[in-house]
Amino acid sequence: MTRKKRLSSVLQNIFKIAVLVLFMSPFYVALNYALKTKQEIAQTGLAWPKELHFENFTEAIRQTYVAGMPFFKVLMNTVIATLVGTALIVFISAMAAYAIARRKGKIYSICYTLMVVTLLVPIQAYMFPLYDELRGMGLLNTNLGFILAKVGAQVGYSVIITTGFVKNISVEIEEAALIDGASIPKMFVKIVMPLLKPIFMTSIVINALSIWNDFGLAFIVLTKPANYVLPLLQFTFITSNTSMLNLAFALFLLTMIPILLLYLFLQKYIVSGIMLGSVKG
Amino acid sequence: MKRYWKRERVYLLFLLPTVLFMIVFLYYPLIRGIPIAFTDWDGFSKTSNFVGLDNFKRILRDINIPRDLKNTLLFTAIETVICNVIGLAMALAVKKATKLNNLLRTLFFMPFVISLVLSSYMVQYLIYQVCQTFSWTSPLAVPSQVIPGLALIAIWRDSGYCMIIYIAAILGVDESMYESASIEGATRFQQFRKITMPMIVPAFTANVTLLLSWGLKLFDYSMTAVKGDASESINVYVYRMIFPGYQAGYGQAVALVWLIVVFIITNFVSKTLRKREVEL
Repeated sequence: MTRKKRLSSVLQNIFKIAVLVLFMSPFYVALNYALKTKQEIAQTGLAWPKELHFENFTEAIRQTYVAGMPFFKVLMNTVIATLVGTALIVFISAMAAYAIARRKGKIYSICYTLMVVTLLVPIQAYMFPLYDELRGMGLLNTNLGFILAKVGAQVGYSVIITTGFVKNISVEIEEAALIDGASIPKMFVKIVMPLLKPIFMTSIVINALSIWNDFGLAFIVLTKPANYVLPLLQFTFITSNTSMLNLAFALFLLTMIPILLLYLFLQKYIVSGIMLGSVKG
Repeated sequence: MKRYWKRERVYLLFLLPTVLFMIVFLYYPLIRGIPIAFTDWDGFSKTSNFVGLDNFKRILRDINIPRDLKNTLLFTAIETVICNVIGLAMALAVKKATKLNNLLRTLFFMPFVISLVLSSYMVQYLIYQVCQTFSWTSPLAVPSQVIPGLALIAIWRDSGYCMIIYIAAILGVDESMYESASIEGATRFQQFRKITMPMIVPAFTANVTLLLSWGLKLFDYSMTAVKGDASESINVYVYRMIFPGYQAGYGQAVALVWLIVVFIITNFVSKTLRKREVEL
């Protein structure tokens, strides 16, 4: 029995190590390429660089300015879109989820169904009329246009997971507050919102990742390099610099670091947030 | 009506911003796309002609459609199956909350936080390097293997997500159930079959539905890893027709039919899974 157990734990550890190596190796590739010269990549493959070429990073940033998609501006665009978009989605989806969870009636169930359907609609099914619409509104090629389109595409999912969560909160405290004379909006802000904190975490994580990493929608809405967000920069940079892999990967690393650091600092919340979303959703 | 309004006013106003965003930036453009599908509009001219069902007839004759459909469905199938298998295996391996396991969970999930574009290039060059070392032909260079290659990228990025969902389900199982089961003499396999399995079935349903919807949206990987016929998904084809192709009418027709196909597939799969869940 103990021998069998030991064997199974050895097998399990081998499995863990194998998966770990496999899952980390693409990051190693990125780091490796980013620190080498072009020639070294071609000649030495994945061997650790003899000399660390940190100048790749500054050169990559310089090149983004030459190409008219300045790195720090693109970074700012992405940060702003992520912050504003996430805040907007989390707030309005909580309000909608509250209404749907607490009230019965046709209007609410129809709206809920409409939200579920949005999960299935590929952007490509409506990207062209959306493009046309944003052009008419003067929002094409603006960060605001990108944010609004992204909110429209994402908000349904947040409402769905938040609704499931609200349904599990007891109504008694809310009723007591209403009897005490609080208005519904005031009661919502003072009593319901604090109770929603755990699911807000989920909503924040999912929406922030989705906006930060968005490619499909940004690709349609943002066509001028100066208004790009990071995934567009990554894509355009490597397609126009396929011979300069070291610079492309140096840029990749630069764009990856903020989100990876944030993930490592907040990983406890992120992982539990995803878990919560899945259980209640 | 007046009484209804008075009672529901606040709640309907709560609902309003979300519904407005959804309608203005999703449903309105989606519906506006329908009449375009019946025209020969190029997407920028002032005029266009009504062509009836011509665009839809063309879909039936279009040789690109079966290929792109096959690419999309094969990608989705491989991704959904393998992510679930690997995700479950990883979840079982790191389910005990030791320090090491917590670290491993963090690292296994890490690919999910970077963009699909980055994932695509990072895995692509890893595959390239590995193949070069062993003098293999890279799957991304062989047309018939491109789709499994793309699926590999997606598997790398999404398996950690499946793992998290499975861990959430496994942690929901009461530990004492295992204890009493092993006292009663149940083998480890029996315990897995009778206790763990029924608990993880809802997680399985959640994962399959989610991966299915991600898979059917295939766009980013096809645009980044290997461009061209071998990797083209329906979504990329729609894009290619409308924007660089100046065939907005035809592109919208393909998009419309594809949307209906996506609804049918997703509906069928989630209904089947839910039925099985009840049976178990």
